[in-house]
Amino acid sequence: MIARGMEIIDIEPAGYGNFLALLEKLSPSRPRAVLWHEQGIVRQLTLGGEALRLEVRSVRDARQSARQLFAMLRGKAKQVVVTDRQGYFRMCDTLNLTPLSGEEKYGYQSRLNEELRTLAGESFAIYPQPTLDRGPLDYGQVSGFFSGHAAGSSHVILGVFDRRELYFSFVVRLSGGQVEWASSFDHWPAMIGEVEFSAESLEAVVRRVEQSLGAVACALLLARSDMERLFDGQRHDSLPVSLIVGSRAFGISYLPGVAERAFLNTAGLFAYAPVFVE
Amino acid sequence: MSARGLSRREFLLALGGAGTVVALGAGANCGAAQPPVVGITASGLLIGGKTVPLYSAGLDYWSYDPSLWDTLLERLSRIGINTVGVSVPWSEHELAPGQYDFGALEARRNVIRFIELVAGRQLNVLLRLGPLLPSLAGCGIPARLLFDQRVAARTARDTVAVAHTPDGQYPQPSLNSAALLRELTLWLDQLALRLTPTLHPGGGPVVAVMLESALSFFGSLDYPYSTDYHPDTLALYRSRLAEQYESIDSLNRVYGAAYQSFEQVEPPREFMARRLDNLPAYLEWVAFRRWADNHALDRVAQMLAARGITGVPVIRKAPAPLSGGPGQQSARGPSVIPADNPRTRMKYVARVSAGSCDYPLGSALTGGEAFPALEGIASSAENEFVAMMALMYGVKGLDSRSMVESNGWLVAPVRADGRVRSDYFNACRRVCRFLRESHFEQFTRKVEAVVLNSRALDTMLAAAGEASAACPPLSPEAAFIRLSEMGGKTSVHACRLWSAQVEGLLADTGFDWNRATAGAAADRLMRYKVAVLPSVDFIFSDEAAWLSEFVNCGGTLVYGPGRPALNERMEPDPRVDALFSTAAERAGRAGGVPGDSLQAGQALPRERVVRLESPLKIGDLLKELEVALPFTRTNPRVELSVHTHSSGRMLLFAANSTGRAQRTDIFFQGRFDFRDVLEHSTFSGEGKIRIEIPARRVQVWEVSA
Repeated sequence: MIARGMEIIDIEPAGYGNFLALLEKLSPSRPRAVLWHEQGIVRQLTLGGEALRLEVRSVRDARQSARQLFAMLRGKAKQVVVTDRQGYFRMCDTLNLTPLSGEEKYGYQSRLNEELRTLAGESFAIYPQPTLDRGPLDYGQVSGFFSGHAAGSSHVILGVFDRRELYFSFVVRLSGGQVEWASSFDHWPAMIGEVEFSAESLEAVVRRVEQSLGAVACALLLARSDMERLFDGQRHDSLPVSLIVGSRAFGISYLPGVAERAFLNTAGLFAYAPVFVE
Repeated sequence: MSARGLSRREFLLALGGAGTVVALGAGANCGAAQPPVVGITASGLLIGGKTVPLYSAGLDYWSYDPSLWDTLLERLSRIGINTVGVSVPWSEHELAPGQYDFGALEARRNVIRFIELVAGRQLNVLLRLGPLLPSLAGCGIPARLLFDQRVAARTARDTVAVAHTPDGQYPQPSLNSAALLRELTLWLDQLALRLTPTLHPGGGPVVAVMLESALSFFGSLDYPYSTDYHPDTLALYRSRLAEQYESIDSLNRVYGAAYQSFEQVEPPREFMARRLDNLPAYLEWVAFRRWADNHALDRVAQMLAARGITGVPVIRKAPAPLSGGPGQQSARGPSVIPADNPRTRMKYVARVSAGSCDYPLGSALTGGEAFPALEGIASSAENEFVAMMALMYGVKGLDSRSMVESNGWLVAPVRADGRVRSDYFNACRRVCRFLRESHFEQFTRKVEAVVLNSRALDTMLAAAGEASAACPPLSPEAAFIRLSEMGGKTSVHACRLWSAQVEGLLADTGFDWNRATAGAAADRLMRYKVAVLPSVDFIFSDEAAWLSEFVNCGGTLVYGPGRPALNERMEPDPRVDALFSTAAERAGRAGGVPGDSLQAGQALPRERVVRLESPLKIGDLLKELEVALPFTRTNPRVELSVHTHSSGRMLLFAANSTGRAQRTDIFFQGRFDFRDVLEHSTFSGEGKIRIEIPARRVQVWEVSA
């Protein structure tokens, strides 16, 4: 689990807006295209709720139609649903899967996705199949990395800069590999005015967070362009080569293993803010 | 103890111990004299014969260390609000069934102490008693109840309905569940015991109580086949049908069914209508859900009253759009508009609120954003603009959910530790300064026209799943069945277009108007000269009755594009016939003498019921009807609204919603002095002034002769 029930305070307005603009690309299902059919005869195609004209007349196998439609729409839809009336009702039933008391959000979502996958057949299909994965790294990798390497209580810091200006920032507290508290540099008076895109500034930020909150596991300052490259909708195995070495990013890691791996997971962690579980 | 109202000082002294609290409550109930009650008017609360507007900001006391409470209240006081919204979440105070903590175990739960501090700062309290508080995780309901199968709302497929929120997922509670209501009585017993002495009639600072459902079936009010098919909701549905139809034969005739009794009637679980005469069962299910949403809150209000929470207005948060049954709002007490996407729909929501609510109280003064704020976060200047627009178009009181940051509540003017975000803080202060210095509550917006929401159209669209294209993302009704293929004379598309064109043309011409539903506006309808109704082939019969009364009292009804001939049961109806068969076509002269009322039973005056097939002439028609237009402008991008004072003074609002500065000439008759309410600069003009308004700005002048 990445977030159990996060406390969120003190996030600066502009930074939060910038963060959202970046993450907007990460929704795995919206815009969603829906192809409605009745016994294989197409009744309507909608994209983001709006009717769409497209030369699709019949559905023989919903799984195949969904794949084809996804290709035909060429990136206009993040997800395609092909369904008839009965498929729709089965999906509604699944979306109302009864939660268990105390069940965490990602755990529930994972269970729900599994149920949705079992619905696929000749009359109903979702393509690509619902997943928790988003951002540069898949869910299992980020979750596994922090559960395995940051099992105690520690903090992870991310600052993104647009040229010399702070674009957005996040500071999260991890406990047992789960995010339990989120804030930004705005939480510390004067930090916003002082922080710079430099190694010295990063060290000062880490010191301040350590004094105020406790141990820091990993901290990364990254340029906006490099963050956007990481968050381009594809999976990435590594940070752009030589970012740290070439002083285009600054990082401090106290986590075991290769530092670049910790930095990549730090950047990837912020794709899993609770907002994008859907 | 005497039953007279206590002074605030006495109240503070009396709150010294829990025993005293109980005694105060008992005294207030047993006294011979009638305690002073708080009333409500269109301008604010009526306290001791004085109108006191409600400018409220919430502060979730249990979220902060009590040592911070006074600091945070001081910040709110500096903003300029006069009331603090105090939510009392059930889940926060209940430790286990029958075990409650109000501060004995944890000081942050001491709501009485908090109210005492609010009173000490000379601020009023608006108590938000839920019972469902949609902004809190799990709606503020204890988890043991949320996950109780007997409490959960049911889907059309009889599974548990689930709420998916950023905080997690949980079964949606049904406010009709008998199991939940039983538990609610125990919780309200506890609450009333402690809170009754804090009410204003007892000398306390609580001047109003707010009730809210969970935003109307968890935002699914327009999706009638989603929830709630809980057995207790269905029992209520059947008993309501029995009331409305009296005999099962009558219902069978309308529904084309063969039920033996009302207990057998099944609500629709998906939209299967093929013809107009199939519609009644679906329309009544939609109407029932809207009624039930209010009924649930009425029931809680009665439970509060039975426990001594009386003497202050109980404000119900109404669903949007406010399109309920006859007299819904006025008959059952004041309502407020919900926090319904205030930024993008503020003008509409403000007009609906002004047209339908006893006291138009709005959430326009944004005190922060809930996480995740998917639409981004507005700048402080934008928040100020939106709040001023709301005031310009009819909102008279402000209620911000919270102005202090807490978990998941971002960019509030006041941070959790008491620091302020100066830009947001000062924007809120400017709005409050405007309200205070202009004595805004003493002005009334000058509006003589109302554009009615067609209940027939709204209900039909909801029944057919065409109310909204975007949400939920999947809806089968619109894909398989089209209202346009059902054989009506007037298409819903034409009616929607007519309605949009009317508003566009009114705005271009410079008229100001309210929005309302004929039933919800009730007696308020009579204050307008002209009511404009987008119409299809049928109309709810009680709506027709209200409109007939309006015309009888001297108003003019303008409708189009369709001519209603049937009622909601798709039957001919003498009330519908009496209203619409007499209508003059627009080719004929439109006239009417305001205030010239007819006797009951007389034929409706032909010239006061005007059918306008094309809305293009609406501006001319309103001018012919002498609808007031005291100020006109040359630039239609500048919007004007006039609020008048009994002394003859006016507030002239001029708004520029565009992204560029706009210049315009404003014309009027006579010579006026203009004083900028916030800047205090003055100038005069005779017949005409020229102004320039910066982008996204509302300017207000006090105008006097």
